[in-house]
Amino acid sequence: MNYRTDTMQSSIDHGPQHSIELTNLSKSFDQFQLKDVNLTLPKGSIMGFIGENGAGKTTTIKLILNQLKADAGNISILGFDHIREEKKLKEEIGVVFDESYFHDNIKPKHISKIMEHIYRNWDREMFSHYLKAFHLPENKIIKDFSRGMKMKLTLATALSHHPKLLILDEPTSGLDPVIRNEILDIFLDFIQDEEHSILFSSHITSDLEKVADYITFLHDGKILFSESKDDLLADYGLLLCGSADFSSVDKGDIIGHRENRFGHEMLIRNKDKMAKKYKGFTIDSVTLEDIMLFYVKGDHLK
Amino acid sequence: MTGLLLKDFYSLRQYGKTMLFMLVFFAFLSSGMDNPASFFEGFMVIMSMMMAIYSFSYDNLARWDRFGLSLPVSRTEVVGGKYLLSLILCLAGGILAFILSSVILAFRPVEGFGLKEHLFSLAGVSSIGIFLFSLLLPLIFKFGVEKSRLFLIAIFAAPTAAVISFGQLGIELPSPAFLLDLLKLLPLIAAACFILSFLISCRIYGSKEI
Repeated sequence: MNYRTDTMQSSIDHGPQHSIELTNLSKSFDQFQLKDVNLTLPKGSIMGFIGENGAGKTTTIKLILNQLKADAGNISILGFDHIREEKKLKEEIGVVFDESYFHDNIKPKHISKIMEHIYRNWDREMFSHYLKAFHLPENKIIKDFSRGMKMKLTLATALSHHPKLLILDEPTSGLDPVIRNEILDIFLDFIQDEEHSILFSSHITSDLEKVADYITFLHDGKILFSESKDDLLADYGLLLCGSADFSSVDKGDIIGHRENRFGHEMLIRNKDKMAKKYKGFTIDSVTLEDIMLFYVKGDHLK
Repeated sequence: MTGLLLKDFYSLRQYGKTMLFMLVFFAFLSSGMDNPASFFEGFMVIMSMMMAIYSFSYDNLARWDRFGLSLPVSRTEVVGGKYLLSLILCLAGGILAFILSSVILAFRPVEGFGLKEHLFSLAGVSSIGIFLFSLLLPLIFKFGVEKSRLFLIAIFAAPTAAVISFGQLGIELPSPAFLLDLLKLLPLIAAACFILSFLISCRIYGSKEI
């Protein structure tokens, strides 16, 4: 994690410099194990959290929120101990899940009244402002809302108590591109304050390419990498060649491999170094989706 | 905790309207009985407290627990909120039924059933409601509201079944004098059970993984 050093230097006297610090976090279930998860989210940034279904993203988020108890490891959120200072900590975070968890028969105006008694910092005017901005009727029961409206309502709720950290678990899944973009803009707006940060778990890697500063890739309960997005996209590449040239490729250079009727596609690292090593081969840029697919679905030749 | 209670009241308000309608309907129905008060009040206390169970069902339907526990509320507050809701509903149902049956009794007095006896009867049925919920709430926190429906039937049917089988087995039922003494102690027994039940539920929910 090469970003650690520069963020650590900048804020020695300004409280914790990281919003989330997970150290050697482990949790076992009958069928699944989360193993030694280490994750650091610097303040002022968005961390994209990717991985296939069942990779352990939601488990990690549940551990952070103290909804599951860890078997081992340490969790520090905004400098708070997530168990001893749970209430204080939860005043400072906003959480959005993949669906709305509000009862169907209540109205947005009720949510404001409920949250007023739950959050010390609840800002009624800010909530009304978001309702207007998102074109959400104050006086209509939630049952009549579309999925996009429900997600916007959840987001308005998560933002209206002035949180410092947003924890998002697939907040854009199942939404159309227009609404997704609107929501991403809100996240970018939120992150303008350097004290704010976002942990953004998503399958929609293109969303993360737009907004994330760092990417953490969880696969089968383990972290494969946690790096700056720009470094990742500059470092990884797709090496393309025909069947005849394939035998000349050093298998140790290949992270993942896929064969199709046009030839071979290989995920590699050190793109510049590889370009020198494999002269005459084509090396394409990658997307996060390519990286994820090659790690999870590609053949591993080593 | 106030926020959680508000959430339950908002989501139950539709059901509450149905309850008010039932209140009037059963008041009318029970006015034809020998003593309109005890049946009507018992029924209303149990029916009102059932709303607490509906609040669990609504939470379940909305999958509220996961969101609820991402808010700054402790698990003890979540449990406390449901116990307080049950208590408020029990009192509200009991008091409303008391007022309505007092009106009926004013028009059609029952001999030997004055204000004192009426209050006594209300305390008795409320205590029974609280006692039954003391058994039921920890089961809901442990097994969830869907699975607890069976327990609900068992808890409500058990006393009736016991009385019938005692009779059939030739076991003598306690004397009315003993039952009357028991009735006097009932509010205390119910209160103790309710507190104990709350502590057990806190323990269950405190270690529950959502």
